Amino acid sequence: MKSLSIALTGCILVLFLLASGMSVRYLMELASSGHPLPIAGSRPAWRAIALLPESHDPFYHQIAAALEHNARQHGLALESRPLPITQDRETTLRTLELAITAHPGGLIIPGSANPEYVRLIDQAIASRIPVVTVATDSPTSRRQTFVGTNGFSLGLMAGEYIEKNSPEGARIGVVLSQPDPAARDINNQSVISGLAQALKRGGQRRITETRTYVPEVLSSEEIIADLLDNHPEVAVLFFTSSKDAIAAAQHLVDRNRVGQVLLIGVDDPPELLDYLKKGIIAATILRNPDNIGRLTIESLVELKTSHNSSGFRDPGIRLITRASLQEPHR
Amino acid sequence: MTAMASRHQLRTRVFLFSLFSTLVLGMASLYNQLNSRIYLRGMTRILERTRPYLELEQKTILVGNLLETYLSTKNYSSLKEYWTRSQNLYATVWDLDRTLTWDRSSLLREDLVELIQSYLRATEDAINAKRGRDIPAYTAAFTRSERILGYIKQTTADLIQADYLEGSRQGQRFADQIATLQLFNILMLLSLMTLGVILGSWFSGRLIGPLSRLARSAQQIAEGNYQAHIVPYRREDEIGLLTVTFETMRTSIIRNIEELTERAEIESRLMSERLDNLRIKNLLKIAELQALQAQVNPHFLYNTLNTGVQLAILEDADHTRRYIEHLADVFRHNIRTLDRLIPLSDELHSIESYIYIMRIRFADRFEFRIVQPAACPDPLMPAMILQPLVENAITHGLRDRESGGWVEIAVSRDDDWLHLAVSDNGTGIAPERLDRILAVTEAIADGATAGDALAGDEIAKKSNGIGLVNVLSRMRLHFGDPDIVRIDSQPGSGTRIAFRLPLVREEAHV
Repeated sequence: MKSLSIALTGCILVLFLLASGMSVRYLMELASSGHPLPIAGSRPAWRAIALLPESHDPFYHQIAAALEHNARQHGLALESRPLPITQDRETTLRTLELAITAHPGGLIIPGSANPEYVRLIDQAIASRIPVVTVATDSPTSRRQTFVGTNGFSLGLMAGEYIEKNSPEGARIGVVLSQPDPAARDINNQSVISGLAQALKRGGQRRITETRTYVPEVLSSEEIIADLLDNHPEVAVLFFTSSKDAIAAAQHLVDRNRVGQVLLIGVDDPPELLDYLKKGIIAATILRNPDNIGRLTIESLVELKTSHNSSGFRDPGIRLITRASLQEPHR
Repeated sequence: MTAMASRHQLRTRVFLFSLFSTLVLGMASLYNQLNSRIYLRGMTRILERTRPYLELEQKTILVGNLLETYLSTKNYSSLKEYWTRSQNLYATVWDLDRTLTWDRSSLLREDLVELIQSYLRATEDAINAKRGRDIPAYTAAFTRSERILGYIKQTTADLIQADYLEGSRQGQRFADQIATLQLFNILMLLSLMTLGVILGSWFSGRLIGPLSRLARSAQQIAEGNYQAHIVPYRREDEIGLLTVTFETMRTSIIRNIEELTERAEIESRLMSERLDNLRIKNLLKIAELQALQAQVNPHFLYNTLNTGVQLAILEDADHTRRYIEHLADVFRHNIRTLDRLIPLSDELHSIESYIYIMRIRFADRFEFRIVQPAACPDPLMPAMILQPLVENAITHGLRDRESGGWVEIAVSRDDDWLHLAVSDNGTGIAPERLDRILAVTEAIADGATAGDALAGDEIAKKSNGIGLVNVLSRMRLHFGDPDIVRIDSQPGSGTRIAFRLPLVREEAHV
């Protein structure tokens, strides 16, 4: 009985010591709470601002995530701000001006042909702020580097696939995603040029209709429904936005027209891959947003450290189909 | 000093235990206070994160207002106030913690600092242009400063929002940490309380246990069990002192009780002896009274009988002379003081004279024999023992016998005892009468007076019954031996009354 009492007392004593130790440890943690949270690893060496289009397109979300990840790898604190893309250019310009006035160590922005936009880019360069355009370019500005998909290559790859997988004389519809109306003449034109170049090589396939999706004006589903209703002869649909491709696939399912229209999209969000596996979407061209993010940060770091970088960096594209998706290496 | 200190060990232990308990409670309370203080400081820190930025914005707006006033009025005091406020704003910005971290708040804060500095530069440009009267330049600079002020407000709002979100996350984390800490605190306090109860129980057991055992021993002693076991206590503290003192008290009580018991026994014995003496004296008084009543004037008779002896000698009446001489011896023996002891030989000599007279009186009707050993011891004994017994044998035992009756006085020795017996072959004593005589004798031996013992007892009062009772009582009281007399009597077969006299006593007496 006595030894049991001693053992019990010992256990309670150990419990008390453990509880006291843990309590003191948590109290010390609490004492340091409320300060800015320390981040594991070293502190950032410098800071940059990334302005990415305020878009629902997963492509830009993936770029933003890749930028954040790679910036951290290079000791760069990246402040991401949404860049409102509307018909009213003033908001976009003021956001860009704010970013320049905040005088970051580097600036990552989408390109635009808007003269005022270009002037602000040049102002940033004059203020010794390195500028990298991403996804879309401002070739007339003094930006040092553009990292983005070559629109011509994209169109060419799509055209080649259409040529091989559509019937002779098929009519083609194209839906271009255009977050920035001011960039229309630059990238989308390159896509169409590439597509036309591929179709010109043989056969009688022709682009029947080209629609441009502008956010806040029409929804993807409305554009596609309108296009298919007005052009029932269209046998191929090519999209430069994954969101539009997904909407088209769902539209074909709803209209019971699966198999009648060859759908080609871009990028690889899960919903799109799901339609690809089911055979509703025939192919998708990957624009490698991860590569875009990596190359952008690498370019910015080069500009910051050596004041020199390549003027254009292509992240590359790759076409995948239902068959290639099932290959082991995938 | 050391002994005193060791005697106060218990007090020291109680004091140390109280001190320890107080210290533990105090530390727990202080720890709780520390907890509260850290909670409060942490929450205050979280809640006040955004305050500096709001103040910064207010100061910036104030500078902007002063700039606008100066530009519109060119008032010198406004300019002076502008410089003061703008320098103050510079200093405030300079004092800000600009450590760059990975969190969004840190980046926005850096934006804000850069924006404010740009703003101040723009306002200075506007002031300088105004002073240089360059209207387009100060207008452009003012417009630019207004735009930057808008960016400052926007960034401050973003910063507050980011800080709010971060503060919420930290607050949630803080709350989680507090909840965990409280859990450990509760666990710590519960285990501390349990330890306190165990230690308190152990300590009170160590403190009260010896006292309880001592109290149980005291209770047993109070109930009369003086041999109750007192559990030894080895510590030299107050309880040890109490235990030793209690043991000493118990020993003292036992010794006092033994002394009182011994004294009471001695007093009881003395009282008993005193009572025995009183009874002997009482019986002697009774015997003397009886003798006086029976003999009107023994001395007169003794002297008269001596005169008769002289007369018989003158007349040559030798038988008469011897008769009268024996009669005179009997009278002389009878008038002895009865409280004195006499040698057995005197008693035998007297009984021989008495028998001589009885032989003359009763001629050959009865035979009288005295049997004694050649070297007979001569112990002391009360006087007038044998004569009443011989007289009773003649008067009552042989009263109705015309011839053949005998009375024998036998003396014999047996180790430490001298046996003395008076026997006859008379009618004997009826059993009920003998029982009654013995009962009266017992009562007298137990302290009753002869008058009380004989009250209403006609059988015992009958003649010679008193004499036998007197003889028996005197022998018992004198020798203190209830078995000193033995009476054997069968109706029609005679009576034998035997005594045993202790020779040791007689020799010691001699």
